[in-house]
Amino acid sequence: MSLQMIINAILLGGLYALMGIGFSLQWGISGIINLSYGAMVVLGSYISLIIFDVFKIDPFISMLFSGFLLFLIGAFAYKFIIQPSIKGGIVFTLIITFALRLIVENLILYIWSADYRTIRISYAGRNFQFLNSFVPLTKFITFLIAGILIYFTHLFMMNTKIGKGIQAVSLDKIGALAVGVDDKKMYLINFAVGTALAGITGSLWATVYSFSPHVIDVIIGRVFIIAILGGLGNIWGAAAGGMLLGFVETCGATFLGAHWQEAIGLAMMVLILLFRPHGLMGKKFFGQ
Amino acid sequence: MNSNTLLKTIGINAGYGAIQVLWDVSFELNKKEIVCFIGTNGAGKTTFLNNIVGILKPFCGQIIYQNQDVTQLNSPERIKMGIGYAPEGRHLFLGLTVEDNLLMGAFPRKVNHRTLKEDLDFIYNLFKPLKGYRKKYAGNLSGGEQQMCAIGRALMSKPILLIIDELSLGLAPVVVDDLIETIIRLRDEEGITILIVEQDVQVALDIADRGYVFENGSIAMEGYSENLAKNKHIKTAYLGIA
Repeated sequence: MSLQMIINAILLGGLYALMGIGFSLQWGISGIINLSYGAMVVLGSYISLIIFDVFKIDPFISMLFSGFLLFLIGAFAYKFIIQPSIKGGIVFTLIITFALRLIVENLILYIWSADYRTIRISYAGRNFQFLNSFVPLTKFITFLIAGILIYFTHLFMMNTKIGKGIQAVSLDKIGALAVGVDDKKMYLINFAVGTALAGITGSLWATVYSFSPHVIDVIIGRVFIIAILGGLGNIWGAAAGGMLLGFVETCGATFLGAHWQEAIGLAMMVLILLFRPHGLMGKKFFGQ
Repeated sequence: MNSNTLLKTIGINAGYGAIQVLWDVSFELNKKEIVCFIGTNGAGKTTFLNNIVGILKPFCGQIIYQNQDVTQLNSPERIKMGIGYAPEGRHLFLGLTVEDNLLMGAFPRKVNHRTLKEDLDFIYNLFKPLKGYRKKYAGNLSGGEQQMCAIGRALMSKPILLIIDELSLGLAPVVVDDLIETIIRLRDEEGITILIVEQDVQVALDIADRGYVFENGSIAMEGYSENLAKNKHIKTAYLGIA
């Protein structure tokens, strides 16, 4: 395993980690398996694209706007579409979130067509040398931002009032109600934070890879693997899951060939489910 | 409404979906009183508490708290009005430490660290064993300690009204005696009004000023504890005295 490979794996893993966290929080805490997550990520890419085309603003800046807009879209979707469907059970929320995906996907197709797009930032091709290997600059920035955002998400959950309320409903719903936590509000904010992370991931994705509506399927497959690897609703678990997937895919692509890249990730998910059903870091809390 | 009344319900009919559990329940709770709900499993006591706290909404009827109709308010809004609730089964955050559980109890309040520290000290003073277990996970506590933690968490909201569902369930008699003593102190020294659900009628009548007897979803009997203790029906049905 060469140093170049390790660097590639880490850089890919960082983006995967950020990508998986929002999905994991939505599933683990709000209890919504959000099949529209991939569409929200790709929507984030297109938001950065349009801002870049019109205003020539760098995606590393417009990601803030993607996050903000997707936060609002997530909150709105949860309040008016998803929350009313929860009563119908998990199948209902799956159908509703799948419908949401189709709506967003078709909207993207209508506005931008199915062509692959890229955002050509001026420094896109630059590298810097690290020992005997090369580190692509944009991938490196993406990795740093992903790390910072993961840490901020952790701080938000641990230290803010809302974060504590979200923790409370995820640990014990009746207990949370007993101390006056508004459970519906917490589920909504948690879900919206998840979609905001999806949007930011999309903007970061757009600095490194090309994107089209086809990418939605690529992403939804990955986030399932990452969330399950890490243990649902667990920030650091999802981060570790993303990193691991980055490594496994990079190794798979190098040693077995690129066409094995996705199969090997899924194989790993099956193994984890067999031997560690709570995920890598899914700590088994009392009574949970 | 009497100015001394803290909480009053008028004709509460409630239940879960299509299943009605409570039939026309009216009751009154005066300030600084300790009142107890007695009754067997399934009599509707917890359902009634859930309606008072707002976790459930009644089909019809009115709930008046501090001279205000709170029937349509949801539970966070009611908890913020000074209700501390220790639910049945305790529902502690088992994956958090004792201290974090207590701090979670202060969730609705906007207070600074100093006040929180003082409030924590008050709880540790009230329930001495908790202090040593501050950093221990709530899931590792014994039943009695968990109940202390649950009551402590409810007290962290600085309630006017403290509601405890199933005070003595599953606890050793010594522990129950301590809890009773603490609860009476809370009323006498802190002026907190207390509403308790208790299946052990002996315990209930020891601690409460007044009691309500729930049978099949409605109030079968009410009165001062000493009168209830003398009542023939109570004696035979609940105390096992012929």
